[in-house]
Amino acid sequence: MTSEEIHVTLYRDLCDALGADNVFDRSSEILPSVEIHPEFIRQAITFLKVSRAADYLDSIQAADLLGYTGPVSDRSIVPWASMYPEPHIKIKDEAASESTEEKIMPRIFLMQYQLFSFDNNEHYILKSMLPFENPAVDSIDDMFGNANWLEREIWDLLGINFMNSRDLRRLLLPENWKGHPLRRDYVQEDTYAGMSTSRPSPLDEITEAAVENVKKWTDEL
Amino acid sequence: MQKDVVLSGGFDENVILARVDDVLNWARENSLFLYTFGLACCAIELMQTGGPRTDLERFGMAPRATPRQADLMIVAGTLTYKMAERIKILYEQMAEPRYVISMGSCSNCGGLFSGGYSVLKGVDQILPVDVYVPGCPPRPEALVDGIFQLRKKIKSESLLNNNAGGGSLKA
Repeated sequence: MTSEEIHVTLYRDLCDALGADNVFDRSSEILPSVEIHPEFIRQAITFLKVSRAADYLDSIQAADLLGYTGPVSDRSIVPWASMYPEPHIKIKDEAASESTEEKIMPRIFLMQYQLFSFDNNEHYILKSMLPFENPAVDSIDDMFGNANWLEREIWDLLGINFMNSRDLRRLLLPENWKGHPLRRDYVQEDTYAGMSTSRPSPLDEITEAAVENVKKWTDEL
Repeated sequence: MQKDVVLSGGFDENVILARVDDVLNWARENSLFLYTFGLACCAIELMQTGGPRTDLERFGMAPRATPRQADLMIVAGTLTYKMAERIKILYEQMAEPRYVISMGSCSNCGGLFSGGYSVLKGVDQILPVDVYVPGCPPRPEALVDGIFQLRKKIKSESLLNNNAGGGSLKA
């Protein structure tokens, strides 16, 4: 079966298992996948593991989609659209005569689970979009042992909470780190543990001196 | 060294007199045991520097795996904040005189990762660096040149002036 066919059948089976209101078909996209209601992601993975013999968790990916305007950012088309904030309309330039309305999508986190079935030789991709405020999904580290480190990394860098995890600590950054650096609005503090987090570039001094010199010359002229 | 000075009736002909500074510096510069601190790709070049072509052991440099037996720390690679806290502890465990070579752009100033959130922008923010070796990564020849710059520096030190390496940590 091609990956499109796999996802068409996967969508049908997940609709039966979770209810059609909690599943959204993304099989026609470049990377065929099925979108799941965030609260049902654990149930969907359990279904895949039991019914489709998906015994290998390839990866868990996450991204902060601030400013992204691709197909997944339109939240109004999924059945559970009410859990996301409304998109707001921004007028770009009032002076322009043409229509300049810009639709600002609500800020969301993308979660993507990739599973593989050795028996069926099939890849399954599940997507789920979390609202920006208090993003949380159920942990699956009791089903797949390797999920623990993947979830810890996502918690570390993006601050997505995994509920009922065995051990949710930072994985890469020091434990006393503040904030989640892969969030797009992350601003780093000036120092970490007494160490400066920036270094002035020697080029800046040269540039400043050059600018002053040019100013001096133009004044003289 | 003054070979012709023989005290009356005291010593055999094979005794030579020298200044303490000369002897100490001669011993120090010819037995720089290095504490290998490979953190990233610079470590590959550091290993190659110990290989047959440049062969660090010709200069009395034996790699040590513990700071307590080492005189020279070569910080080779990208230094994250998480590692920076540990590198300071390890440096403090080295016996004086102790020297630091900062190898490569990353440990010099952050280099490629100077815009990153987790990388310390220059090891000289936490350790007193004696020699900076530029390059990304530096070739073994460049590192050997850096080591010889350090040897020159050691040669010019004086015990009485107390300017031997690893004097004081920055606050």
